[in-house]
Amino acid sequence: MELRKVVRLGLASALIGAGLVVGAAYAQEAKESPPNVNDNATMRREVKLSPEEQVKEAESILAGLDMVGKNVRKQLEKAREDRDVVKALCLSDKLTQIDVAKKSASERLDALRQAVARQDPELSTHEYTILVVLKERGAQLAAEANQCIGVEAGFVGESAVTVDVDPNLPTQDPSEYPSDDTIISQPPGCVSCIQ
Amino acid sequence: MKFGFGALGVAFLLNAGVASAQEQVWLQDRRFLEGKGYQVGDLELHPGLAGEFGYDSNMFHRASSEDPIDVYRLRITPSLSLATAEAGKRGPGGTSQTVAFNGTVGASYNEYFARDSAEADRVSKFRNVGALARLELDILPNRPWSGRLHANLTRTIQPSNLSDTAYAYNRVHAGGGGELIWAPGGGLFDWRLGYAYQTTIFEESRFESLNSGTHTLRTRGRWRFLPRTAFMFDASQGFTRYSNPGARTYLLDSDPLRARLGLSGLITDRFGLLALAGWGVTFAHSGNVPVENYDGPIGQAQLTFYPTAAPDLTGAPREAMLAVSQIGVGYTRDFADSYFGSFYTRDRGYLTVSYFFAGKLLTSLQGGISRVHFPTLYYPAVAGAPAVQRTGPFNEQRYDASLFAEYRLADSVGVNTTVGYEQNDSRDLPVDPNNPAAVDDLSWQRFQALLGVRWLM
Repeated sequence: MELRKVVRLGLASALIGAGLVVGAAYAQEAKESPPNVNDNATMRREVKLSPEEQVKEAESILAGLDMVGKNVRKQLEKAREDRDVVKALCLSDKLTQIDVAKKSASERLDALRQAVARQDPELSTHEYTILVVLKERGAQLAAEANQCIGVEAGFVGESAVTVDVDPNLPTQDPSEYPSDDTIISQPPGCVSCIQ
Repeated sequence: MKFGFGALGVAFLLNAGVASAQEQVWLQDRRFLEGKGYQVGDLELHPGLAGEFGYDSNMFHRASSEDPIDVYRLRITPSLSLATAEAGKRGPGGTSQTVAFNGTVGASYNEYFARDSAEADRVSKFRNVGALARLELDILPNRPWSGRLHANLTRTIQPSNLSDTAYAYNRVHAGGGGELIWAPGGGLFDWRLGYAYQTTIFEESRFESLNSGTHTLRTRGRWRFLPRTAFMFDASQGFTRYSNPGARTYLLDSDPLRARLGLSGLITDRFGLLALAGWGVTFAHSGNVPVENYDGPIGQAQLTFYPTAAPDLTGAPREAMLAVSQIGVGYTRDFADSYFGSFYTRDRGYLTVSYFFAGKLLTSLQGGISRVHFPTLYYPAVAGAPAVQRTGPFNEQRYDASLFAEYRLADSVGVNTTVGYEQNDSRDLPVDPNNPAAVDDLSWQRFQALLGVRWLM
């Protein structure tokens, strides 16, 4: 009996400890990306979704993050083609962060599906809330990627001049150089005059 | 730039009075030469063929006292103009081509029929073929650094006052050159440095002493302070040399220097002004006659009115750039080498009207009055011998007028007429230092009228 008590106590302690660790972890994750007021409003609206709708919406979030990643990757390739080192570094950093968010979102989606399968609405809502935060994070990173500045924008290069000409002006351009109007002498009619 | 169409127009206006009415108007001006054309790959081809028949009142430029001979004249003129397609569409904004060119070749076969049957044989011997070719090549056009190469060749058929083909002034003008162009800032400012060589070679050996060649270094710059108005500057240093002047010619080598500064462009939305003024010096070398130099002002002024905003000759986009309608009045003063001695000066006032009525009737009217001034003339003498005066300074008055009108039966077929009048009021020029009574009258007048048909593409 003593042994059984010890084992039960140990299991209970382990469960409590695990619960504390998981709770702390959840709490840290929430602290890492504190949602703003609007996010809260969105979350408050979205948490009313049914578990099945949450899964569907979460899949959409993951697809959106995937699309953001592809777009930034395309910009990164263009910057590399243009040998724009400054812009490429900036985009590379944003892409890395987007990939991390995408990986995290994928894991959260799996967790959400499991929670829905277990019919645990609290846990599914929690997972879904984290996915919404990751969605906002993806949008923020996409905006930051679009603001990456290249070398050409950072320095003044060769200027370009654009001239708009009134279409009512004559098409002829009298500001062209006049032709070579040097007189070419013509010999006089009379041969005896010049020889 | 490639030879701009505005420049073409100005060239046409300026040269109209100089060129004889025997020269076809459409050969001098691409706006008149080209029709719709054929597109062959990147090239536009514009073939043409014209036939004319008419009357010439004074084929040999003789004074009225020297028995002028009037003739009927048949003239057949094939031509071909070609250009890179993009080059043909050049205009403000330009082209991104690496190389663009345009060229024209033409020939003119002339057959003469004397009105007086007694002169028929002598006159018919002057049948001949004139020719012209010109090519312009733009390298990296409309870029900050670009270049231009040009070449030209003309065979001129010109009888003297002697109705003998052995005394004809038939000759070849040939030349070419290049220009380096710096145009930063989209072409609103440009500066050019170029070189050109032009030679004149007479075909008859008796006129070999008149053969010459001129090397010219030239620089010019332009600042377009408005889209169609610019300040400009040009200067040139020539080096004219006669290859074999001989002991009896009046010709002198020279190093003519010219510099001009002025404005060119629109001053209102319909009026254009070209005003260039400067200085010129002949810097003649010593020779068989005493050296006399021109050292004075030169310049050009022209007011042009554009009555319409770019009428379209054929409806093709390219021709939209070749608007022809304009009315101009102007004055020019310059100097040139003289076959009588060092130089002569010319002051010329002119009027020019070209208009394309209702897309059917193309007209070009040119007229001018010139005052040509010769300084004191001398007979040739060996070095060290005292100079013998031939005449004192004198002036000639020259009048010229020509009308070309072409009615377009279709886009590619037109019937045309060319009417021209030229007159030179001059003096009797002594020709023999040992016989003061021996003179040759330099005056003459000439009327021509031709009627023809032209096919142009």
